[in-house]
This record gives sequence, C-alpha cells and structure tokens, in this order.
Amino acid sequence: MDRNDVELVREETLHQGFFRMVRFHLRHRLFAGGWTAPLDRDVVLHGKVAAVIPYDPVRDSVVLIEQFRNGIYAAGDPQPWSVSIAAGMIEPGESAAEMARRETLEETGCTVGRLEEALTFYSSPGGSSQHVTLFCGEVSAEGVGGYYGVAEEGEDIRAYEVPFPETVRMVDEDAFDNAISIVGLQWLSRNHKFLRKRWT
Amino acid sequence: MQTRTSQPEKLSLAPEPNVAYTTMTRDDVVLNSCENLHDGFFQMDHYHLRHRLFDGGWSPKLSREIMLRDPVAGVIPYDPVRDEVVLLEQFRGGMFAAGDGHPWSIEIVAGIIESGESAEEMARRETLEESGCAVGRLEKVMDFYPSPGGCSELVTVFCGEVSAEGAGGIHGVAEEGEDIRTFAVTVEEAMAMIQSGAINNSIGVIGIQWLALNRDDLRNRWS
Repeated sequence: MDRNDVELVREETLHQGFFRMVRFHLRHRLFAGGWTAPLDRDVVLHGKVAAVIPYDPVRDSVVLIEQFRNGIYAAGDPQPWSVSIAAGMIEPGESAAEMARRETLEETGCTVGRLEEALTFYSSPGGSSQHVTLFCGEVSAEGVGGYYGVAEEGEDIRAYEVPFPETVRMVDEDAFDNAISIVGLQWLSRNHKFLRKRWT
Repeated sequence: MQTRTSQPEKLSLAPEPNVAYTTMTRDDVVLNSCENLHDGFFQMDHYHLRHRLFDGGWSPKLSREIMLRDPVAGVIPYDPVRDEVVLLEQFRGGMFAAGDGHPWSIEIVAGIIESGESAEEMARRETLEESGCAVGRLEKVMDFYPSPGGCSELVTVFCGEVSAEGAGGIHGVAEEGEDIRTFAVTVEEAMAMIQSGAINNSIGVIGIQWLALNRDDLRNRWS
C-alpha cells in the first residue's frame, strides 16, 4: 500500500491556533481488496523535530536536560518536569542536522563534533504528524552543568552529565517519561560499543 | 514512569547541579486559567500558567496550546518459544498528514484505554482484537509520553505472552474503520525493520528495542 491507495475527499480545519487540527474525510484501499467506507480522521499538524543524544565518547557519558512539560502537566502528573536528551522543532529552511547542532548548543551548552543519524520515527502517528529525526552527537561533557534555554521562548533548562551505565540503569528502571529519550538511550545501549570504538 | 516515593526536601535554592532526578513537582506550577479551544475526537485546550525557575523566582506567564488525549496501552505480542513477535500494519492519518509516501504503519498492538477499564484488561482485549492472539502472561514494561511538549497522551507498554503459530490474516473492528494486517517475524527481523525504518513509530520502536535488550531474561522467566 502507498499514498496512491488513499483517496482524500475533503480536508476540514477544526482548529487553527499555535497548532492546526484538521479532519480528513477519506477512503483507503483494504488489504483484502476494495475500499473502506468514508472515514473521518482527526490529526494535529506538527512540525518536524530533531533530537540529539549528546554523547561524550571519551568520558563515556551522556548530557541530559530537565525542563517543564505542558503535556505532562495537563495529564495530571505529579512531576511535570521531564528529563530528556536534546530536542527541538526544525525551523523552515533549516536541515535536521543544522537544527540538531543548534539545539544541543542552546539546551546544553555543548558544541557537537561528529553527528550520526540514528533513527527516524513518528511520535504518535494515529493523531499527530509529528516526525522525529534522532541523531547521536559527539560532545565534550567536561564542565557541563547549569541553566540553559532561550528565556524569551519561556525555556528554563537544567543540563547535567550522567555516566553511560547510569543511563542504562535509568532506562531499565523506567526513569524516563518521554519517547524521544527512551528511543535514544535504547539506541545508544545497542550501539554503544561500536560507536565508542569509531569515535575514540 | 517511576514516581519516587520520597521527595527530597523542597529547595528554595537552586537544585544540586548534577542531581539525576527532578526536584520540581506539580506544586511548582500556578495555573492561571485554562480554556477549551476545540472539543471533538481530540480536545485542544489553552493553558495560561507560570512555573518556578531552576535558579529561583518564577517564569513569565506562559500561554500554551495542549492537545488532550486519553491514555493508551501498548502490547509487544511475544512468543518466547518461537522467539517471534507479532506485528500489525494499518493506515495512519498522522503519517498521511506528514506527506509520507507510505502512510501504512508497522506497529505492535496499541489502543486507547476506555473508561472503567484497566490498562491490563485493555492490553488483553486489544491484542485479541488486533492480532487474533490470546495473551497468557502479561508484564508491564514501562510508560511514557510520546510527545510531552504539546500533548497529554500517556502510553503504558506491556509485553504479552502469545503463541505466534498461525498468526496472520486481517483483523480489526470494521465498524471503527480498522483494517489491520497481522504477521509474525523473528526478533532479529523486527530489529532489522527498525534499522531500515520500516517500523517507525515510537511505541513500536520502544517495544521492539526493549525486547531486543531484555528477551534473554524474559525467555528465562517465561520458559
């Protein structure tokens, strides 16, 4: 199946603010042949995101950040501050790799050396178009620590260094609450040996 | 995610520079107002709030749109005897909206938890509906927010013991517009599908990577 197996009948805007929500009136081809009845599918349109695992291959450590997250607050969570790797929206005219370098610097103070694309994925493809390009970025974590973020954008970010084995333990113990960090640090667990060899 | 049972003493000063866990809590947020912008299949709200800053003091008033969604349960349908995982393929509106040339997604089992239903009940029911497989043992793997910057959706992932023998065919609730193709692959094949991008949704990637990292322990426990 591909995009040609979808017939978009009409697109209706349900909400237009910071986010845009649309309703697709569509039909698509069935696996057994033939077509579905007319379907309504609501989707929030979201820009593309770049995320970076800021990894120091010499110290064998990862730089993590902590910041307030609205979605976690809205869910009623007692701890709406979230620990994660670096991530941000890709701006128009900017490549995912450029964004990855800029965001890592803004959020952690670290300059990225080598940058490798790890994986790409959709955060929640049933109801959102958000797409994430995940990188691993070479940084020096020496002296990392402090507060970062663009104050005018309401960002207030704490950055700190965590030894790689500690991040493995944190993933095992379900200490991360967000998809980007879990995907990224699972990826690092799987690729850690080869990456460290390549980068040192 | 794990919630610590003992909170550290509330700090009026900046937290320790290298504390691994957050010291901020819900009490460090003041919600000034919240208005509903859209209420349909999904809900969009506008929050006006301030929160405490790491170096003391408070943020300016922030104005943020948040999509409210019901919690989701996901299941890795794993056969420990055959070392296979059952996967599903279905159309996804978000991928279509992103302009993806292939808006059918390869996934593990997932569905919205209905009110009055536990995540475990949902996990068993949804696995049967979407894959045709009855779940034996069921273990919680982890929970996470797929997109916490702008959406309240919380996913709880389980690993469910199934028999993948004979898994296949077309499933789903036709009245809900579901058209789901089911098939079984080895864990190695599933990992190759992550690396190639054939599995490219957060629940599926997290579930399969977890399986790759934990299946030796799991097979010991389940055999």
